[in-house]
Amino acid sequence: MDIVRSFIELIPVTLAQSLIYAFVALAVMIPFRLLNFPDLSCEGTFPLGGCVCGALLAMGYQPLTAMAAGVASGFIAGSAVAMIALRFRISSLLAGIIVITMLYSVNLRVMGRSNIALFTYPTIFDLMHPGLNESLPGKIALLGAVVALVLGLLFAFMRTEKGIALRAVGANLDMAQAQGISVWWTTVAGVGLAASFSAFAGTVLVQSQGFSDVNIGFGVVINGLASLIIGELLVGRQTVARQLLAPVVGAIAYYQVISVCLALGLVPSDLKFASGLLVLAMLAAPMLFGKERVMAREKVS
Amino acid sequence: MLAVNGLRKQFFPGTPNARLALDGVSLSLEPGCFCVVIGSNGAGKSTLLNAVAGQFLVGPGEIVLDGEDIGREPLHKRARHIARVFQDPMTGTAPGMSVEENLLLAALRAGKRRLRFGLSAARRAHWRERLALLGLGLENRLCDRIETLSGGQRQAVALVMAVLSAPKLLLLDEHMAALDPVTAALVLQATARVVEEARLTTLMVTHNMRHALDLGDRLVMMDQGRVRLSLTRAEKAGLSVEDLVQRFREKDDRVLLAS
Repeated sequence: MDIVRSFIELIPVTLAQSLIYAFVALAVMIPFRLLNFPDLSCEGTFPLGGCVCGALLAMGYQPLTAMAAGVASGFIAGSAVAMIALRFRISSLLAGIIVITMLYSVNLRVMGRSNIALFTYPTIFDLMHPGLNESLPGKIALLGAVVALVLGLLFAFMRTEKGIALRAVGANLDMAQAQGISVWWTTVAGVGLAASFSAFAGTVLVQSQGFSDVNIGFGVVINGLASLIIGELLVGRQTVARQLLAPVVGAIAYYQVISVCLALGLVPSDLKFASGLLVLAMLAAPMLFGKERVMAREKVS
Repeated sequence: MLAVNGLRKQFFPGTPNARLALDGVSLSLEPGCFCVVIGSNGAGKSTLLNAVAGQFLVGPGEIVLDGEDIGREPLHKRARHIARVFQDPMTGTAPGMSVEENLLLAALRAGKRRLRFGLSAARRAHWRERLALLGLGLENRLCDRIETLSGGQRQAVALVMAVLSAPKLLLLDEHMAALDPVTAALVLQATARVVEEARLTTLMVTHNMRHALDLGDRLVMMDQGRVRLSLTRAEKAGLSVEDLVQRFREKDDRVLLAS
């Protein structure tokens, strides 16, 4: 019963955490699914947002200014990944890894040291309501509202002329170009947008946990991927609405699964292995069961 | 109008595989001219079409559309004035998106895509009208995903998309080659109608001699990256498919004798 109790006790904390990481899953989904530009640079843009925000807060800037700067830096880094990949015809994954590596040094430069405590500075939560950072339900409500708002805006955007052009670039590159759409600008803006979501998550996380650290990005990309895959399994990806909902639902589900693992007594340091295994299993599933089964059935008939 | 002057394009330059696909090809189309290009495999027909569309940059030579040299413009910029229907119906439309979303992209080809909902009632009504003209019942399928349509239906939509924003030039790249004969006949009719109606300057590549004789104001035969034969509507009027094949052979013999 202790296991169940400790899991239930963890639910609110996990929920608040997953609502932050939902933005990382969104940042994995947009390039990967909507632009057909597999990009894993959130591993670098997530801590970039956090570090820029943390450094500015420590310098005495307002939380909103610090967050805006964090998000903007994420946009620039994401655009840089797209530009490198497109201009030099490098694989988008490799371009992302190059940028992630470079961002590690940038983050250390920005903060001047590897971590900054932020407990003494006002955060966005304090700005919304004094004491909000200490109230879990309040935090969950606020983060939930932000997630809902962003999803709504994204859904509306995907139906605008610009949004439909963005989806066309991901769906059929040749067709998009033949319809006068600039693949360069669309991809640069789209990947930049995705990276700013990842950086936004970073700015929220450092304020929520009260410190900023250059290592907060370690492993977030695999968590984001796992969230996306679980979400797509749960809500599907047949329509734009489902595709947008998937990373958020997936993030919420994924972090609860992690929480169960912890409650079962799994050592936190083993979690990365478990996450990797989960992503691998999900990616391998269609190969192992889907096609094989279809082929087996064809042989029978 | 379109003027292609002395266009040269070499593939794999500087390698043992180097091949001269366009050998100073020149071609000039009057406004509203429907020109059909034929030629054997490797004659340079598709390369010419791709060069005009902007798929790659050519070496020497110029491509002038309505007095403007577009030879150095990237593909998506040329697309403002040049519409194209591909051989593969899958290439011309975007899967995962509805028929109307595909049509919207085509409607915005020449203009700016703004941050506003593009699928207005007026546009839908207009598209329904255009699709109804095809007689395929596509006007009732605006909201369906494009991949639920058959290849022929997709190609018909692609044709409607191409002429939606009145291009200065329409490129048809063997757009009936991947279709079954019945569907090809439907798309052929639709092609003749839309080109005729809007008096579009059109460049069409085909392998079908019958189509080449029946359609268009002009027939051009290409060989080894050059235009070898150009017939006006009057000149080709009396010709049969056999005559045309004969001309093909003559050309081949001449090449053999010359070598």
